[in-house]
Amino acid sequence: MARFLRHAKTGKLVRIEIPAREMAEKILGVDVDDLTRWTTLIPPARGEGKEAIYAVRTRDELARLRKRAALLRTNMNERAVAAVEEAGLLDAYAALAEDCPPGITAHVWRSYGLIVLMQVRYGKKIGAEELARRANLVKLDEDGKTVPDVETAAKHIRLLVALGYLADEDGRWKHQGLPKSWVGSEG
Amino acid sequence: MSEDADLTAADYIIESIEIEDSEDLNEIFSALAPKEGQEPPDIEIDEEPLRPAPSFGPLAEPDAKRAEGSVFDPDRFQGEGEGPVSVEQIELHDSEGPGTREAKKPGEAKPAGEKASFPDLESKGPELPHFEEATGAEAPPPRLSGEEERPSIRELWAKRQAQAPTLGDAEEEDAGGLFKSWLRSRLELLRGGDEEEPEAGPRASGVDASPPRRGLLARLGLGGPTEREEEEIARRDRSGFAELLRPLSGSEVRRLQAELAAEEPIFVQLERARDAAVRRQTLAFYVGLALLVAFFAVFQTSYLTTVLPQVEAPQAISTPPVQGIDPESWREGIGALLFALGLLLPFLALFAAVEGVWRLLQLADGIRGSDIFLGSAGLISAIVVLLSLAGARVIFAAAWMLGFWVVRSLYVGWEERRRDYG
Repeated sequence: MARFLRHAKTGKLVRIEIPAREMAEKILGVDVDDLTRWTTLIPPARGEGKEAIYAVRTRDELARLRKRAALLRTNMNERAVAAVEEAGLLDAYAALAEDCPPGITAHVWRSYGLIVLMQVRYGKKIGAEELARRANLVKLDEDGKTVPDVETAAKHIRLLVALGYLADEDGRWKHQGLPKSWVGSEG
Repeated sequence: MSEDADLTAADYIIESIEIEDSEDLNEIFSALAPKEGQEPPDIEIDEEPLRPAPSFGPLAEPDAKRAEGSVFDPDRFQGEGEGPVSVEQIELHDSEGPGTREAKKPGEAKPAGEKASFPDLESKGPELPHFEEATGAEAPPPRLSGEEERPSIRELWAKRQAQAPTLGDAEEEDAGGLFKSWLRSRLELLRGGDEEEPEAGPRASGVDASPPRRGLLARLGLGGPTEREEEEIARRDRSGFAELLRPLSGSEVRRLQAELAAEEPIFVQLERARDAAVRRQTLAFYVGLALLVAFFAVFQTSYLTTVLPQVEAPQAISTPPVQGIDPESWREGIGALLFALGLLLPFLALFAAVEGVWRLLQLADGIRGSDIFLGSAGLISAIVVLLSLAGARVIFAAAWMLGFWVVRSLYVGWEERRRDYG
């Protein structure tokens, strides 16, 4: 059971303390085992493992922890998520990761969104090379020059096809709609 | 905050709550969170000190609100009525706000077997492509929370999909925003995520969702592949579809998943692509600037030595408008004013030309009316002013430049107002 500490005189909140299991399953929507591994980005305030206690002090802090968890759930490691946060992209990728179905990472889900967007908006069935260019999937070639990473883009498409999120239908990509975070965000 | 420094355990209340989901926490924050700057100091209520949560980047917030040194004695919080601080247990119901919470006695727990959470997630959503069917892998085991079953990620996903707009909705919603989003997405490369509020959507994800056909600057190699290159890319992609659509075995899918799980973070790739685009545009700008400066150097040499000294005041203003002013002094004054204007105008023209070139280069990231208007107006004005000056028509050049700056200022002001206030 969680408990919260508040100022007796003003009644104002100081913090809410939540046991690991409740924090994982009710607040962050992750496995408790996973949560106990993410000790850098979602550190317990006290204790360790499944006995740990997590403290939340503000709504912003809660939102930030939920976004971190959303990204960590997609197999991104803690270092990568911290770097995403430093780059100011946590909101965008957390929103994408919220939609992200099982079996694929936020990277692949982003490619899916772009493929669907190009199909829906322009009726264009894009392939690996155009996906790499438009999604800015790039790598450094032997000369140190930035080039589109067509190979990775092809892997994205292959995985999306294999898992049934994309299929070929009369020369169009048959899909399941835009990621939720992409719909209505650009009006 | 000075009186807070003397707070002790007696000044705090601890309450236990049954949390259903994060909305419960939000309700507590809404009801009890102190205003900014009025936070009471954080306080230790157990022997083991609290560990601070890390913060990164723009979302980081100061974590220095915690008071140090005031450690509570946990024994004082063992039961109701012991000492000045009491422990309460309260049930927090979904539909009730904190103000209507019902106090419960200590130890009065929820009835056994009562499900604690996810009342609306019991039913599965629409049928999804099955992981095990597609991959040949076994379905992940059901996840348990103590003795209670909780929805799997698949069920949560199914629920989200059921709530998400359909393809028709998406197409409908997308249609209205086509042009805007196209403009925005073309600017994404240079802007990145650090200049504006982070937001969700394709733009924030750093993808290029611009129309397949490219503009003039793109054809010059300043904004991505040219139309011909795009056709070539499409042709290569078409020939590769057979391979992309080839069915994969379960082990192949698992290998793919493992490879992609270790993929480099997206933002690193974005930064790399953005750096390349910025380098290209910066190079183009400096080349343009060098050409302009060289031209002005040549122009100024002949202009200052041959044209400007010959500029004379027009007849209409060469005589004083009122009696009592020495005509000679008046002519000298007008001559000095025209000379000063003649000196200043080439630099203003240079500035207008540089800004014009810069604005036009911005078109590589997306077609914007302001860039087209100010870019072409700046360049045209610079040309008109220079030609006028070369013909010793200083007053006409000054009038033109004045008109340009007035129009430019009004336009920029209007553009900023529109951007800020919609």
